[in-house]
Amino acid sequence: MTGNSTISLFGILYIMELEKLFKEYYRPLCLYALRFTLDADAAEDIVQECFTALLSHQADKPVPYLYASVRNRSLMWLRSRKPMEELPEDLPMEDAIDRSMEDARLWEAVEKLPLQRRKCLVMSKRDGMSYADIATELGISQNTVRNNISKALDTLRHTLPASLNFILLFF
Amino acid sequence: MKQSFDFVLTHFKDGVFDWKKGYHSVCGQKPRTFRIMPWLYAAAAVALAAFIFVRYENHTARYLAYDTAQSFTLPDGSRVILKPGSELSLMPRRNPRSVELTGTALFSVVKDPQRPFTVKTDVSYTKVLGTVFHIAGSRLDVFEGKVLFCNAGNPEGIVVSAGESASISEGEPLKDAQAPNPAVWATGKFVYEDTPMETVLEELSAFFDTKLYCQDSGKRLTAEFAAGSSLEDIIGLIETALDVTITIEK
Repeated sequence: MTGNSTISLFGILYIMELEKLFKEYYRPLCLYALRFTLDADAAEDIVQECFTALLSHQADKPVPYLYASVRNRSLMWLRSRKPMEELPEDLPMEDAIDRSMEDARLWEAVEKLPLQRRKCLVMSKRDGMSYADIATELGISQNTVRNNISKALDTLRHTLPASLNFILLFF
Repeated sequence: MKQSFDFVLTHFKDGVFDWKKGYHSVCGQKPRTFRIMPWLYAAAAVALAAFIFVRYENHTARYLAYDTAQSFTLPDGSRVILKPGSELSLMPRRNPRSVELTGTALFSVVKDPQRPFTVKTDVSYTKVLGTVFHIAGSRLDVFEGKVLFCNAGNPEGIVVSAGESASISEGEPLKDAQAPNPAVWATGKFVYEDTPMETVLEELSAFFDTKLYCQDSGKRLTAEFAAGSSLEDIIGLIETALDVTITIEK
């Protein structure tokens, strides 16, 4: 392929390993950081800094290293912003990893929704807009908004583990 | 869980948290193996499948007689007896009725008009139309049915019928007289029916690798001897039966 054409077998294995790490943990780490920062861009910056640090440190156990370092940097970022505030609730690392995976799965499911349905869902749940406001904003009827949201929730219900279905029924 | 759902929906933002973009900004290049690997796997799988297929198709069955005559049933049901030191091979997947022979063998071929049975040696190519026959080097003896006998590499040939023999001489298939027991090594007995003494002695001389003479060569013999008998016993029996004297030249 183009670019670095001379690359050793170990080089290839290393890159494969690194890519696997990105593929599996990049988004969960972002969501882990987001739990602290509540700011998507800040969260993503923090995760990228941590991966960059990993490249120069060669940690033996990259996953715990990444989670620990994302946590530390997120807390640092929080302190620099709001020095007086209390620290957010802190989970043991294993639980934090599980929760970030769960968050990432949900995030991806929302991302994969058809555009119109996603817009309706996000405007309603994130921005707290009324059906009437959404209908005006998107130039569609209120009925369509309601339909879109219920279909979106339906899709999410099918992409999630069974334990979540129960909760979504009451959503 | 519910908390997870609220959290994600409350903070959802389009187009962020993409691992490929993250990889690009951290490593300064796009993920590469992600694009190479499917190709590599597909190519490897195809190569492996082709290799296995070719190995399977070209699988060669070998039959070998080492120091005693061996009898085998071939995949198509035909029987073959191999003389010691002879070897037969065939590719069951390609054509189980196309065999290659090195040495000497007696065949009893299952009839199948749709699929001729063929035997290839260094010098000859024999196409069988259903029968019992014997191949020894360049020589062919047919006992039942008939076969097409050709020079190796030339599909034109001669039809050799039951009781006839042929051999390749100077690159051409030619008929000649059949000895009474050409496949005695496989059948295990000499059978003579009103056979001229001359022919009997010729065959016994060849079999026991010696030279036999009889002054009274006009007589004819009808007898049966086991191939395992000693030359002296056989000669003794013939001398008594026909009242002749046979001399052995060492």
